[in-house]
Amino acid sequence: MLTGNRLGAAEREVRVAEIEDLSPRLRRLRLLPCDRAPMAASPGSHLLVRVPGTGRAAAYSLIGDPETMAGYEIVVRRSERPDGVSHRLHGLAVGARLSVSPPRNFFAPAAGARRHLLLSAGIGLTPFLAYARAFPPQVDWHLVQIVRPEERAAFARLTAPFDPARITLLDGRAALCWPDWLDQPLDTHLSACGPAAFLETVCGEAAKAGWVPARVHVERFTAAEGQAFEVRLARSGGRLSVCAGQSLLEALESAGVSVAYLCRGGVCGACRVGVLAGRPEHRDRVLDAEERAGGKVMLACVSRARDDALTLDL
Amino acid sequence: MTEPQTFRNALTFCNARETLLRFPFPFAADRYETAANLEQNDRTGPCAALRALFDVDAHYRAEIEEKAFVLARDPQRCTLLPHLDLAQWDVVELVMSSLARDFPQLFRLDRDGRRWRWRNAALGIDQSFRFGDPDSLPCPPFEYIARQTQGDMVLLAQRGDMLYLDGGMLTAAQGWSLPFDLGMSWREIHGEVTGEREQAAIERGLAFALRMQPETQVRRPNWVICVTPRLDNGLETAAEWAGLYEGAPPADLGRNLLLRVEVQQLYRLRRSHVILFAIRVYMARLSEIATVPKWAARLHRVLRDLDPAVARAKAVPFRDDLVAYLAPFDDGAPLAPGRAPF
Ligand code: FES
Repeated sequence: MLTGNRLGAAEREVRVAEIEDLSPRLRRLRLLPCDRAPMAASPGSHLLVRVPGTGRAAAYSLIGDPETMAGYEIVVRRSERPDGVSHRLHGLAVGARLSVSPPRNFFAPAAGARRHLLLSAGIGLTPFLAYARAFPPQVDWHLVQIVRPEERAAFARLTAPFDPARITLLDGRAALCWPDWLDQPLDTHLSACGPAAFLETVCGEAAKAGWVPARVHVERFTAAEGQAFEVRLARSGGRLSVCAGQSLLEALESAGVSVAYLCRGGVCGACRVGVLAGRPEHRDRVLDAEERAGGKVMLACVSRARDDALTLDL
Repeated sequence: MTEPQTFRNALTFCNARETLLRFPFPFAADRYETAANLEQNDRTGPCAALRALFDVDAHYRAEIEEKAFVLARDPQRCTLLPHLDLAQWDVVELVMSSLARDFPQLFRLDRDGRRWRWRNAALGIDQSFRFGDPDSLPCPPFEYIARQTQGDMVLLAQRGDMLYLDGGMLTAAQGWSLPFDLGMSWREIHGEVTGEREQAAIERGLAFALRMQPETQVRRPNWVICVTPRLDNGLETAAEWAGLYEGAPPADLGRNLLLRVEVQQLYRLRRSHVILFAIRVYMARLSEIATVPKWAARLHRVLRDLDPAVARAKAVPFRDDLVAYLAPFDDGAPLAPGRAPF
């Protein structure tokens, strides 16, 4: 069995430079690349953070531009599952080493918009901290953040650098009066981040209040979500497992198997791999109906397995 | 300002042998397929032109001069919406650092925090400035570096699931124009296309661009046949050039018809998340192509056997005359695959 402790092609090693425990379950970490100064990243960017020695990785939003903040700053909520990445990150001390993907952004603020309403619940706040740091002075914005009462202090600390007139912290979702908040000037862009159920409510309420979809933005379903499965590599004889929160491409990369890619989103066709056994679950927009039905090729960046295992021509 | 003579007036443009051999000839096979031919823009490729991100060749000074002339006549060719301030610095960083890395004998960039010093030996420039401070440069940052770069650049800003052309500098456009397209969405820029395949390609291109990240850099060589080596065939100057494409073919076909290759490149800018679309134009006269036997024979086969739908889309001017001109250079023997000259 290959262990996922090799860095994928584009991943880089970082060390934990600073830790701040904001609450028993919320921890802010500052990560510094081991080899060079961190590069700038746009607001809304996230990193895939991998704990060495495990194949596991999880995505965390950057709470500000790594160049101006002198490192990658993330906030990690310790989840209920004791085996997850967040538990490992909560167990680390300053100086520990991790590997991270380059910053990627699928949730940038609408370019050129003059008014933003930001709605977040819990840890969904993190991308908006980067937004707030990046908005130029002429942009009008307001953030409504839903917190659990016991975490109010922690979130107040994270939002402390910003103009308090732009921030509203509410205890629990019930405290949010939708019609009031959604009554905004027509050119406002609404962005929301938080648990799936919260995002659904946001979209439903916004539609009810007459918001056009082009002005409502929610952090999107990540392609990596789905069931875990096993992969056998026919040519090299290797084996690896793809976790629930990881794409096949990421799993191959962290096992040191290099696969070409361009878009990592199922639209370019670069990461096509041959399938020798097992049934792929196609999630791309490249393959034609025949290839899809044939099941002999798949796109590693988005597609997964319909069964527990696949054998690839790699 | 005296009118430059390379790409207008006397049209003195020509390629020396070594410049010709680095030309990004676009045809790897005898049949041209319109499939989305995106390739990784990783400073590798079959010719020297593709081994730099922002390529500089023997025409650098002439093209810079031409650009300055067009901008002096029509300042609107460089326009940016105000929200692109940060993207301007992204472009400065990307272009300066690429030029300094790819052509160290011509360009040098020294960075000390926000204090930067830029040297361009080809144009005799030595400029110290503060990164992020527009007052420390003689003109706005995007314009400053775009005026020192061969080719055109436009900026596409993302709002939700759509990209909008919110700025750029276009002085070498073929059949379009910045003032006309400013503010348009990806779909509007591409205009009405009839074919289902073309429509699907435009949508796939959009889906690709929307998800593109800074670590991914792609290029796509596009080609047209043009009449005379004019660079500026924008809509603004159509009165000057449109007539060349109608009526009788020009005298001396080999000299006056050119293969024009536009290496289109996409970059996702780090700070602003804006997309930079750079279009680097190369031209070779047919008589020059004819001196490279593999290219001459391949171009003959490609143009002769062009799929009718593609031929319509490409609007190849004087195609029959062109094919007849190239026929003597093609003995029908199999050609080595790939785009390299030999
Ligand atoms: S990398 Fe583009 S389809 Fe997978």
